[in-house]
Amino acid sequence: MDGMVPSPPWRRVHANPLDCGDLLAEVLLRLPPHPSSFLRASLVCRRWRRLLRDPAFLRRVRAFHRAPPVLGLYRIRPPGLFAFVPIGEAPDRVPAARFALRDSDDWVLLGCNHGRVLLRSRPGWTQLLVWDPVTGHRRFVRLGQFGSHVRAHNATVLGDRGGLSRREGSFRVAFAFTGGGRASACLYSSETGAWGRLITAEAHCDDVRATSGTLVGGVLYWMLEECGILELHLGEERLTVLEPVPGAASVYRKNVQLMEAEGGMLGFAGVTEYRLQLWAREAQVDGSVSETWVLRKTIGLHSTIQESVRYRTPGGC
Amino acid sequence: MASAGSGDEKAAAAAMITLISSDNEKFEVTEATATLSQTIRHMIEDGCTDGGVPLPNVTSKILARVIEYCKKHATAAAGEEGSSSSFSDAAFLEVDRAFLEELEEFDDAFLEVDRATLFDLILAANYLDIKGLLNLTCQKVADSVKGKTPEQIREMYNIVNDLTPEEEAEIRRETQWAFE
Repeated sequence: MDGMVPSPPWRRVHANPLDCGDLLAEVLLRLPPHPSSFLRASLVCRRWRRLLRDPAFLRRVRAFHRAPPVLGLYRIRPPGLFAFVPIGEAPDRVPAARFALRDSDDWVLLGCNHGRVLLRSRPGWTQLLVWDPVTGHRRFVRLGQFGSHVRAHNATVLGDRGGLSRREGSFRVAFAFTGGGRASACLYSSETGAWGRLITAEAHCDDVRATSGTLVGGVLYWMLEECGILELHLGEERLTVLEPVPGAASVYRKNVQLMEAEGGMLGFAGVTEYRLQLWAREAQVDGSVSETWVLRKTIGLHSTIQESVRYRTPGGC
Repeated sequence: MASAGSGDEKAAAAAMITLISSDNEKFEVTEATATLSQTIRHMIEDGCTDGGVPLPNVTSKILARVIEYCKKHATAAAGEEGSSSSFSDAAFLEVDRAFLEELEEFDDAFLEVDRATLFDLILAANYLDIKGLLNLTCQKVADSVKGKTPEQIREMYNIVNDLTPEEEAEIRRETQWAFE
């Protein structure tokens, strides 16, 4: 018949869309992107299991849902101990053991970014370990001469944010160290398997702290001992020192955290006497190119802290 | 500002397409409604819609529902285009939000169907290549599976478990936490 819409071959066979591979994929693609929902569905039958393990299908899932779910976080407990703390209720709660590092006593956790965990050897800074807890993939990065003869170090891993295939995804590591009032940094690329040039800041500064670095846009920030901030521009490979939030070292002491503020600029959170204060590094209104710290918000923590004390289990912390 | 009258005239002048269901029922729809289906859009572009478009895989019952969906979504799309020039930004946003809310309510009500109808809608959306409808109906099936055990899913959709007991036990052992 003229103008008849051609009938796809599967239509003659299937009255149930779940019997058609393409339509089953359309449905399962829309499951909540949590591992538990995929695991339960993969036990339905062989066809479902095959599809849910197919790398091409999983790439589609990642593209469809864009932001992967947060399964939990690593809590660092000085001196260098760390544990995975799962987020969510059963059955979406991944067991802590699933993302535990088997030889964790040999490593100190430095931070996580883009699904990868960065650790350093213990004792000393002889090598770094980039670990993907989901795939279990481990890659060692030697520090060579960088690791010794300096007073303070820190390092941050940067994943390939756009990479859909994690296993093959490349990463970079930014390593910063201070001593004698000078700060330097160096970038490692997994693609070349080598460290790049040494980048040194012009301004003098004090030592870098061990707390995790913070990525905002294409810039990486590390906190310094007296609350100044080391700023590494990843694109230009330029290292600079930012002045601290006014009075930060005496007001907040160690209770500080760098973060991304609303609007995509560098933020600073500090806690003092039951108050959380949020600062942002904003461009000066006079039109000059310089930036300045602006206190954006103060949040009272009295009620929050009282609640947490009330619900604290005996002997817990 | 576009007057309501000129809009009506435009609609009246718009080409009408005849869709013919598998049980030979004829449905007259505007081109704007019909072209939500990529399959029909291509046929119109190729000039092969004279004398109607036979859809041998879609019954009149399902085709009526599909047309209802397309009419609503085509109107919403046209409404969005038309309103942007006639309102201030704030008023436009207000209208836009109202439109979206109404569309959401329509979609929710649209999905209040039995499983057989939902499956037929998925097949029709796929056959006619209507992305929005395919997304809506497939999401409904995915939501129905959410939080269910493998046994419940099999029972809901009459799926035969062809995993051997050994295979099943092994998978469960590896991933026990997801079933607790």
